[in-house]
Amino acid sequence: MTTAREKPTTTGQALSITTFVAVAEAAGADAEPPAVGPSSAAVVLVGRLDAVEAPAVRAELDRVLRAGGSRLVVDLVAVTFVDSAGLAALVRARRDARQLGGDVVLISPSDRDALRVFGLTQFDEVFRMVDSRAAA
Amino acid sequence: MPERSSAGSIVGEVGSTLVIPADAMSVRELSGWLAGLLAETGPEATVLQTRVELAVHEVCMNIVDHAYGAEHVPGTDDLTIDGAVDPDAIHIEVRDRGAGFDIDAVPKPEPGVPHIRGYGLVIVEKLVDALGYVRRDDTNIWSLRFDRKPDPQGRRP
Repeated sequence: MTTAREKPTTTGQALSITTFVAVAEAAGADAEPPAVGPSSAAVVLVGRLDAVEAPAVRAELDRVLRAGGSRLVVDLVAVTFVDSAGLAALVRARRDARQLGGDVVLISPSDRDALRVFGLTQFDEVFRMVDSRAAA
Repeated sequence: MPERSSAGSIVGEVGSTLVIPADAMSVRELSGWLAGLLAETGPEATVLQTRVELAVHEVCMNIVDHAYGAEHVPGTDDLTIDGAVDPDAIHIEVRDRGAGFDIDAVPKPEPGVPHIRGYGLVIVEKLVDALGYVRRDDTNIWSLRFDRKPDPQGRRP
């Protein structure tokens, strides 16, 4: 599948959000998109996924879902911190995607500390979480 | 479950104090402040930092969201966070003058059933060794203790 980066968005200094959607032609993306497989969109988050950034993440995931990307990959590989508000944005997207007949797959943070919150809340058993982009 | 306590004061000397407005951006100052507080623990600091930061962050965000609420105009001294390091534990006390909090009335998410909200206190309780809350006059006082010794049952997250 050919993908292109759509609407790179940076929110403040702590988190960047880059969305990849399936399109006919690549449109000059200068970052490597996740190997999204059968998914229809991927959102790559880099930095801190906390209460400051959660509203922007929630809005972007909602926008992608409404645009038809209900089979969504969220790449958390380079996320360094996740709190309950960040987790809530992901859980909400999962709920909405499933209502649309899709799902949300998470690519696990490589940072153990960022991954910890999923274990503490047992969301590591709720989400489909994969360790590498290729496996998503 | 961690110990529950109604005691609300750090025993011994406060090592450092952070005073911030009750807003999410200001809560990010915890990270740098904790790094300074925990520096004296030497090689333990990195491990302690992530555990303590996430728990105290969630307590502070609970205060931002519930004690002060959306209508509150943040003031410079909404949140006062004291920290102390002793040979056995890290002690953190968080104080605010917002609305009182009934810690026992907080609904717990059902295990295995995904909910969107309600995980802040769950996260805190899994990271601390003792958690206390008391309202004294017009002040809410949260106390958190993080033991430095390895958990003999291996339960440390």
